[in-house]
Amino acid sequence: MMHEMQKLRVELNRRCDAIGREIRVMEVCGTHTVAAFRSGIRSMLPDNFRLISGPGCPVCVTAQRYIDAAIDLASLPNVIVATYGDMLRVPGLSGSLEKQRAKGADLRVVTSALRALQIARDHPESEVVFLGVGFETTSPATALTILEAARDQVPNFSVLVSHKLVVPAMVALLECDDMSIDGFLCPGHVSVIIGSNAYAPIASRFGKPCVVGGFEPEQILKALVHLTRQIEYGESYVENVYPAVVTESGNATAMDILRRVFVPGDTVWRALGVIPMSGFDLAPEFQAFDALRRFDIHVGEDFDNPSCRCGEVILGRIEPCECALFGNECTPLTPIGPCMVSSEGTCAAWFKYNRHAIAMGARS
Amino acid sequence: MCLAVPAKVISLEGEDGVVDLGGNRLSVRMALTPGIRVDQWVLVHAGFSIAKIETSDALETWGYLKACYAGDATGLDRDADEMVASSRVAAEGTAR
Repeated sequence: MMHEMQKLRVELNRRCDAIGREIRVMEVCGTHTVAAFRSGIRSMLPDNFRLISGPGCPVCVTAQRYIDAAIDLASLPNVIVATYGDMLRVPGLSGSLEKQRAKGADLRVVTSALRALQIARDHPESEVVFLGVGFETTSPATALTILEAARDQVPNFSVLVSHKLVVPAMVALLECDDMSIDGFLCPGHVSVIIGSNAYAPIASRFGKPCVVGGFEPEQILKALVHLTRQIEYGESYVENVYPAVVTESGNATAMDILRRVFVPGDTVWRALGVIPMSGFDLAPEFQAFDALRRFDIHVGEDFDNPSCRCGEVILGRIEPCECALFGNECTPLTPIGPCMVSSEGTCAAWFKYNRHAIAMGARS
Repeated sequence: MCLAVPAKVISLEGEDGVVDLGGNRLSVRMALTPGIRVDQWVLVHAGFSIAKIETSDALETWGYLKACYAGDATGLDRDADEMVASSRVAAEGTAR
């Protein structure tokens, strides 16, 4: 493996030298963010290659108003809220779900939407609300669980839907006037579902190279080499260097289920605002499972902490160390912004790994 | 959150399966990978199999994951140090 890594590293250096200017590649996957740090790849990138962590952590891009709605739901009597663990500590306007649990709310951490449905079956006397967050890797699990709840007529199960779509966010970033991105390292496991062809509009309409990459060190480095190759030659097309699990058309079964249960809808992203057709609403026949409707919860506005620069981090405009809170008031133990809450958040990854990179004598 | 891990299918019953995930037995819903068979490998995410994966690719991924779990001192950090050191040599060689 090392020999191949070395060859890729040399090719990356050579191509970056040939390009001769700053190269800005964005990854839009929290798992890539962490893997690039943990494997040491970030610390060996050429000086003129900047790997930007975009809006790829679903926890980080979940709007504060959604957290507030989840807290409102958890505050209701006889309601159990089931959620993936990362959501517990994300700050809302008046605290977090974790703090709500300390006040007595019934919050259950689950690793699958199916577990939330089972809790509903086990507790017919209570209402169970599942927090549906995540990109296309995760949303089929929510969709299938809703189908199962409908089939089995589980009356006390509902979902607070905040699933998001990757490609509309990439388009929104490219439509920002001040965004400078040379290409995208596309998310491997989202692509398992949506297929590599989904990025074709990014390559053709915006002229940005898109390379789907895996998560092992060699796979990431290979994807970066393919990106610089396209950038050097002024080309822009979609490449899939994670063919072990990613196909051009994706998982047809999963996509069919998504289309059956959800309809595309406008949704709010932290830092990005409302992006048209970048999320999911429940299709009319499944709206009985919409927690907001069932409990008549009003989704409010966002009031982000003015000192917190998570928004600029998510947009790739600054690196975490440029935020005055980073590593001072805002740490993984005392997170102020969402990027420090999730283990896949850019700030949390920087906090955990970048000191290590400095210790290795590499560029921080 | 989009982490997905290869697992070997141990048994199947309708859309439900039991997989071996790094030595642990886990119940997984197989509805997103129709046609999968016992002894094949799948990528598991949030309690669902989301793709079939060839055995050789699955084992390669597990080799990497085991290095992660083994801890920095024994696995990846050593690799990373080697990578940085060797790439410096390579880079210096290129410069000359």
